[in-house]
Amino acid sequence: MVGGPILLVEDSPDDEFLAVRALRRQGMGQVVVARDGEEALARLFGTGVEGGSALSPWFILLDLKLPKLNGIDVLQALRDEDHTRLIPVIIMSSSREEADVCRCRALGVLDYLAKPVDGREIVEVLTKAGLMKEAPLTG
Amino acid sequence: MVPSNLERIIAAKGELLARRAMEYARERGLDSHCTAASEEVWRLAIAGLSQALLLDFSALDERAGRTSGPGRPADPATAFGAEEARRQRARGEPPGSSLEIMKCSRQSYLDLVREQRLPAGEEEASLTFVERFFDRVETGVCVECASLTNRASAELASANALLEREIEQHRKTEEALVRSERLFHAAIDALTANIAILDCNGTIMAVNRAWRQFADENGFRGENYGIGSSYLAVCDSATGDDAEVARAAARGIRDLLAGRSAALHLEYQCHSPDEKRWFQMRATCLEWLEPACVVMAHESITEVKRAEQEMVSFNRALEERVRHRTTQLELSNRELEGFCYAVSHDLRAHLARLEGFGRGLLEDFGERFDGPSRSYVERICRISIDLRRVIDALLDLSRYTRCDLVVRPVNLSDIASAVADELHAVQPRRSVKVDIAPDVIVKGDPKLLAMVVRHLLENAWKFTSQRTCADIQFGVTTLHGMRACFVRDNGAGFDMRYAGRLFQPFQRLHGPAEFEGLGIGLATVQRIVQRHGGRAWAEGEVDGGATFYFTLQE
Repeated sequence: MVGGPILLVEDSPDDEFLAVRALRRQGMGQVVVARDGEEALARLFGTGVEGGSALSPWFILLDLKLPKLNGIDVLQALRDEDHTRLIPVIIMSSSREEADVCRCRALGVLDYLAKPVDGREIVEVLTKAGLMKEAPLTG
Repeated sequence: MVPSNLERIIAAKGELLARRAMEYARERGLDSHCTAASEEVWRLAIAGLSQALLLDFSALDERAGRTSGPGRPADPATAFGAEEARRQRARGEPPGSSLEIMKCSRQSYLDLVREQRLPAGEEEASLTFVERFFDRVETGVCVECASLTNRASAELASANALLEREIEQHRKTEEALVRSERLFHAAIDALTANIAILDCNGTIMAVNRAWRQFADENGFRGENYGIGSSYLAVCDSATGDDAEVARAAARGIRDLLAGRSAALHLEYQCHSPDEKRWFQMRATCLEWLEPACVVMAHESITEVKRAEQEMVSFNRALEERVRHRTTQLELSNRELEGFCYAVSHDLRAHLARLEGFGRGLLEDFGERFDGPSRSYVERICRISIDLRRVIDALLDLSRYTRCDLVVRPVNLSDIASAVADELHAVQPRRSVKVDIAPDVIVKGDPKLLAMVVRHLLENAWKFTSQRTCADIQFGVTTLHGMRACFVRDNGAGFDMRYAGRLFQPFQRLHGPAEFEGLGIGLATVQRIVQRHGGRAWAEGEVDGGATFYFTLQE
């Protein structure tokens, strides 16, 4: 799937603001935000309080350090379910801890980006992964 | 005038003269001279007297004008007297006995003259002659006796003196012996060790006070503290816990006595019911004595052993404490590291936001700034980026310190080549000759060691940037017996006075205008090398290039 909603899992409003801005600047305006790991899974599995259907995002921008379930737990849960197993995930974290990086790569993430995240980096990753045909306009 | 027939009478009556003389002697109580055994003596004396008397007759006239020296009888009478005295002495009779015999003989001769009924004048003259003769004989006896007595006295005195000297010598020897023996006993008694002296058969000849005291205190049941009994036999027959040591002692003493060893030293336990005790036994053979003997000393080394054991347990406790402290320190170090990491991590997150918003400000509203205000915002952004990099470097440094080491053989030459290729690719216009020694293989963590080589080569690359022909070498050498890898360059170098600061984080010897950098690369090198049990150091001079060495635990 190319295009569609992007699930941003981020607890910090500042980081959320910066990530949404970075995505918008690359023309990716459809962003659903989850504030913690549990909320993210609820959205993906359709088990949220709102009772809506399961979100099927284009890709997920996932922070690692999250309240309740952390990023790694979310990633693991996604990979354990058939219908979420193949959702592309890009990690964005302040931590450059090698153990985290290795663990995420083992769980099949597109890339591991250090904050502050630049929209161009995201595009580059998506393009490389064949999830975008060409680089959109940059600004 | 002597009657001429007197000569005849005397010659004829020898037997009568002797018998009468003996009778007179008996009357005078000289019984010892009148035994049958001594009759011969009397006869010989009378015969001698008669011969001398007759000789005296013939010498009578000549003698009138002559003098005789003292002690030298000049006439037959005196000569006979002296002779008789010497004979008496030779027979072992007392000196006075000759004189007694002569007195009895005088009586015998006078009586014989009187019995001849000579005419009055002749008898008178004969008696006078006999009296004078005997006077001289007795004088001879007396003179000789005196002379003999003097000589004997002198000899006796000399013999006595000799004897006294010998006695004195003997006494002194005996005293010295007693003193020596006292000294010997006092000397061995003064020693605290239990000492026994064994003869060449291993029999105890002497023991000292400490030995006796030990025997008393430990209920020794033998006689006389073992003196006179065989120490070897006691050792040979020992049973129980002590048997082994006793056998070793016996074997050692036999070896000493046979000249198979020069000294014996044994340590053994001999615990009493209420005390743990250790002893050492030392023995030496006095082989120069004939026959040889062995001096044996048993000494308590309980105090030494106790001190040793205390030392061991003290050391063990100390080691335990050190281990405990080290664990605590390591723990608190880890906690501190963890804390720093958490703080740095948090700081980094904030800085990333600051950087993000700064970038957003410039990108979204940049056209609204005029020159100076735009410069301010740009500076704020740049500073936040710098700060974030610093935090990243610190986090890296902390990570190298905390991560687990994976030790395996690493080819540093391959890593160096890869890094050099990268550097050439990034700055293809620079002319840098990188000389890499082939197959420098060490043991260590591949990722971390790659970091070391990368930092050092990047460093060299950076500090040779102002050289038109830069030279960089990577190789290995031996310094102080250690294998040391090195990276050498002909770059800016540094002042050796500041060499110690090179490896400290954020310590820079060049301003950012000269060379860029955070000052964390060499600190990282140092940390990684130290984690590998090695050491990093640098040599250089200003404008003379630098060499960075590092060793790893072999």
